Amino acid sequence: MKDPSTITFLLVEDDEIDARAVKRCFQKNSISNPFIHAPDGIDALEHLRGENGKERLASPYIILLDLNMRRMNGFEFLEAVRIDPKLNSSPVFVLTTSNDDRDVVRAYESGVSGYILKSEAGKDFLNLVKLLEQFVLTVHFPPDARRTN
Amino acid sequence: MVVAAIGVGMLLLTLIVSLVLRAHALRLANLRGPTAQASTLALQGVQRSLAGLRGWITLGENQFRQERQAAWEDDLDPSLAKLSQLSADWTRPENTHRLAKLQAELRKLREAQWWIEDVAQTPGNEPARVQLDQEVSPTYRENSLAISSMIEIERTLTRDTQSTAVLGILAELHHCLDRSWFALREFVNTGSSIELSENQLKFDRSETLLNKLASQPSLLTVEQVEFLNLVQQQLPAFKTLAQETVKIRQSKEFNVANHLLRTEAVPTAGRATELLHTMSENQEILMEEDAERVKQLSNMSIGIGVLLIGVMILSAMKLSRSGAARLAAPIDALSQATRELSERRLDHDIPVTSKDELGVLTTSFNSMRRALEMSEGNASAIIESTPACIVMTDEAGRILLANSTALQSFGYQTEQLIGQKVDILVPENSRGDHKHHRWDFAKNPSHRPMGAGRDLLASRRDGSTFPVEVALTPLETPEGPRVLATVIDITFHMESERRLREQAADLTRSNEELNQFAYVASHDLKSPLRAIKNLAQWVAEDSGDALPEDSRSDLTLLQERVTRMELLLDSLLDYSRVGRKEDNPEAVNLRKLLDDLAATLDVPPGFKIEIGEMPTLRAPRGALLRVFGNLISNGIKHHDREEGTILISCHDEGTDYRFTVQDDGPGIPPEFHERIFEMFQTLRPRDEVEGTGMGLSMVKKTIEVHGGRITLTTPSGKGTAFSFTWPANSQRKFVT
Repeated sequence: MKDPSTITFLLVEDDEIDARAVKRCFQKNSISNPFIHAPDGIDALEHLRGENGKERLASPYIILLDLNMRRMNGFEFLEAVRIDPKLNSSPVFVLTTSNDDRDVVRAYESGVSGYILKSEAGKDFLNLVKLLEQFVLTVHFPPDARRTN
Repeated sequence: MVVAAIGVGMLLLTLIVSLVLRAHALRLANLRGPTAQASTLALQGVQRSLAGLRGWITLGENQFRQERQAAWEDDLDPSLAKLSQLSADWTRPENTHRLAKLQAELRKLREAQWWIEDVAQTPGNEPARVQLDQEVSPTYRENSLAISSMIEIERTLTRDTQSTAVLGILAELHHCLDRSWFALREFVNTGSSIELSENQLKFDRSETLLNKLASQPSLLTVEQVEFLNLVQQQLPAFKTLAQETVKIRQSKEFNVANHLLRTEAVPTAGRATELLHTMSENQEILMEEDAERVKQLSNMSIGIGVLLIGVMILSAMKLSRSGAARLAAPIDALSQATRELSERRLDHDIPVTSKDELGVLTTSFNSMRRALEMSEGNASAIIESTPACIVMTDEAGRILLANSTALQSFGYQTEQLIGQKVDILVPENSRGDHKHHRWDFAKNPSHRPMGAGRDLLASRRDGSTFPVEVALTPLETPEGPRVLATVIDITFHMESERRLREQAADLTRSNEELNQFAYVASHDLKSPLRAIKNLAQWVAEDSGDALPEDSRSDLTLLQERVTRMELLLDSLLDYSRVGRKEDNPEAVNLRKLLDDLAATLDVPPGFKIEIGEMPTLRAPRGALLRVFGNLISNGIKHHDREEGTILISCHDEGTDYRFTVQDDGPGIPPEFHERIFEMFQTLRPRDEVEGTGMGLSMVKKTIEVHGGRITLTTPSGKGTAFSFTWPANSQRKFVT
């Protein structure tokens, strides 16, 4: 098992306040893992691929994905990740305000590891943090696909 | 008296005519018919006997002889006997004379036939054959034997050239003789002249050969010369006899029977036949004459009968006129009145002049007239007062009656409409079709709505149209078939229907918009709200201590309002989802559901929830939970004391259940009863009670969406009772 503290969180979220809320929650719970905030799907893909002057994000990492975003929304981002052989094993948690059944079903069909409602994440996203801790501790991460090339 | 005399005279005349008629008819039946019949039978007998005779001559079979005899026994003799018998009644002497001639001819015919029959199959019937057998044949045989002997002798002699020549001549001579004989025999049998050619008879050749032999007697033996002499004598005899035979065979009488048949029997039969034909033709003419007479007599008899009847009627009338004059006047009056009544012109009673049957009849007539008048009056009143247009037409579609509603609706005066074709009430462009529909209806009349399934338009006098519904009723009246059309102007009806449809569409649209709004509100409004809440919290966390006391309190208030806002948005979303997102109906045990609900509702210690008898019903569980949950917690939340009782009861009303949730709280003033079901309404300051004011709206909407109704009462001045109905078997499906 990898050292949980080496896992990077990539938060894809266009709402600055929501992003800050997640970050604050992490700090508050003394989670000192590396944390990257991408304001939309395109920016997040650049991080994952090391494009546009950004440093490529190395495994292990967990993507926290909002669905309603400008430029490239969450579903478009998931689609791009799933067809990219270098990225398609990335663990993704959806973090959204939409509790529409269709969104939930569609997200799971795109292979997300979890679907978390922002409103249900609880005070200071405490539940989210607990979930992620459990996930990190129990789930064996895939090897970095790019390195095996 | 005179009348009676005339009557009796006429009757006598009729009797006489009838008797004559009978005599003629009898003659037709007893004389003309049988005479013709006997003639026909005799004709048949003549032909039949001749046919039998011919068969006998030609084939010689006995059955033909029997047939000929049968023709006489069965046909000719009986018919002759019948004719003789009938002739006693014959009126014309030429007929009797003709019969005598016929009898003579038939006698001759019978004798000729006997003779022919006897001779036909005897040898003497054909003299040529007799000659051949008795004369020609021995001569032939004598010659043939002589020549054969010469040949035999020649064969015993030494063979040399001369002998061979003699033998050749002898052989040919024998051959020629044979040929002559066979040709002759064949001719006698068949009569074929081919057999008579020189080539066949060979007489000349025989002579030549014979002479050849005679000229060289040295070549012959003595015996042969003797034979030669014999042949020289006999061969001419053979020739002469043969020629005689040929002559006999060639004559017309070669067959006696046939000859007799041709010369005797057939002409006699022909004469008899002619006589018979004449007789039967004669009978036909006589028959026609008789029939004509019968016809004339019948006509005469009928004429006399008619005359008799006429005379009798006349006398009867004469007799009765005097007596009838008494009765006639009231009957005339009554008949006149009946006519007037049928033409609807009678408006008064007929005076009753007597107390007999006529008086009773008049009285009855008067009451019938009054009843008719009344019922007609009723009918016209009904027709006139009905708000529907009523138009009656005859079979050809001409308007006979139109009530005032019809005149008013179509814009005509009575005289402008009566007598017109009903088609003028139909828009111009559909008049052609209407005519055809009318014809169809006339062919198959029945009570029915006109133009089922089509939108019908009627046309006013000014050409404007209006939508109508039309019912057609066929009527049978003494004046002929009628069609009663009831026309209802449905302009208003259609207008209100259209308005209703528009309103329904508007309502659907605004509901849709409301749902859309609620959804958008819940998502898009919540996002910034959460941001505000977060920010306020962070400010409090990060710099709370540095803020003045008032600011910190404001910050807390800010957070509280944001929370309330969130709640409101959630309830709004929930509200919009009622009826749109429901579970499928399932069997719900309400007793259990309410027990569970009471356990989860966090009921304060001073409160009791009493649940009466509850049914199990089929409904979406979530909807029931929402309704009862809100009503129970409402009762607790708005209670004015620390302790109270919530009573839940159920009453089975058949198709529905009626549930009542009653508390013993402060009650709700009647003026607020309607308002409490509106959205975001609470009757107390917002901060006093936690709540969004959406609970009861949601309850009301849920109940109504499932087909129930909720009402609010204040029982016995204290507390509040929410009472609502719920269908006993809720099967509604909900669109998500």
